[in-house]
Amino acid sequence: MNGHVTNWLSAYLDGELSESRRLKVQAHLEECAVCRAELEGLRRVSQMLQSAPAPEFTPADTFSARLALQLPRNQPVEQPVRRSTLLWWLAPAVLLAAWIFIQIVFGISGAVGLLDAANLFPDASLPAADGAPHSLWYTALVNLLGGLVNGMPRSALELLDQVSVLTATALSSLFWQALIALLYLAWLVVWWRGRTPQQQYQRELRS
Amino acid sequence: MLAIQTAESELELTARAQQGDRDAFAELVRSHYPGLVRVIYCLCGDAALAEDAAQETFIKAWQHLVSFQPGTSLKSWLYRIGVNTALDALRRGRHTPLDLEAVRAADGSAGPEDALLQKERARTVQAAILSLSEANRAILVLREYGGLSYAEIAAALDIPPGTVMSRLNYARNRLRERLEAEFGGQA
Repeated sequence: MNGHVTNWLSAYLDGELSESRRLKVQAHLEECAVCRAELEGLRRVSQMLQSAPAPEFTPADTFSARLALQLPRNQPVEQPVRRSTLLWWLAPAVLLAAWIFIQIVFGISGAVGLLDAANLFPDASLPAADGAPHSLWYTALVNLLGGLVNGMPRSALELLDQVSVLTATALSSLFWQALIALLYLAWLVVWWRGRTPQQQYQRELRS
Repeated sequence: MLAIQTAESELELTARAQQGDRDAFAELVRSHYPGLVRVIYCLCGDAALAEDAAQETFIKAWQHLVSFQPGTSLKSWLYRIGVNTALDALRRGRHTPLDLEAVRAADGSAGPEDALLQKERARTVQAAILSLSEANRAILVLREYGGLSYAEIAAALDIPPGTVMSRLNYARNRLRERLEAEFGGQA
């Protein structure tokens, strides 16, 4: 080890280094007078702290007896922590279920729409008499112009109409998925920050 | 072996205390009070405040004992409450700076001059500790007077063990500089 090991000396003194690090520090100390002097200085500080006289505190028995009179008679037995814990862990499961549900619903809708657009369904099999749904603008245009539309390139309009419908469906699906993802992310962030009920209590104590 | 027996006994006492057994809790208090009150005293430099904060700590612990997770360190948990209670009291300004009137002579047979010297020494050490920032001071006293491991300090203060290591190293070096300036090469 070339450099000094001053950053590790305190932990070395406390026996808190990993075995490999401890051996490296020890080997360095054997050949470095500067670090040995540093270590000796830290040891003296520690000894001085330990030997500094402390005030005469109330003896433990007396303190304990006095404390017993101050303790609330009943320990709070309700555990709101447990109830909130159940809800806490249910949240991501509910979000996941919602996501699966949305995937299935939109997946099936999309598949049905595509199959219908390709006329792969027999007419009688679909509930709607008019087949695939139309966009609002297309319906309005047909209602307004009526026969005039018939003269227009209908297939182009229908294509635009189908694109609109598919886009609306995809956007709707994306919206719900983004909402679920955001909620799940929020849950993850809160979880990551350690806001489990007990830690929340500990944070309360610190605040 | 003794440590294992103590840990088992503490587990059992904690479980009983969580069921509302006041005698078991009193036993835990007797076991942890001396270390805790010394740590709090070194944090704030006020013996009366240290005892009040220790009492507040144990009352909070009793009230929230049901939320304590068995299997984790009760000592860390108690010291965490204690440190925060003491720091809160300090921030509220509820303390007499460097109260050393109650400091006892380490050697009861020491004469008045020696007693005065010891008191002065204690004052210097305590002043050096109080000159550290709250964060560094808490780590130092938890280690030196509470005897907590780095992992227990990390759990008590909710910081990574690596931070404990670096801050403790820093705090001891600052103390060393300060005490060497006061006592010359003796520190």
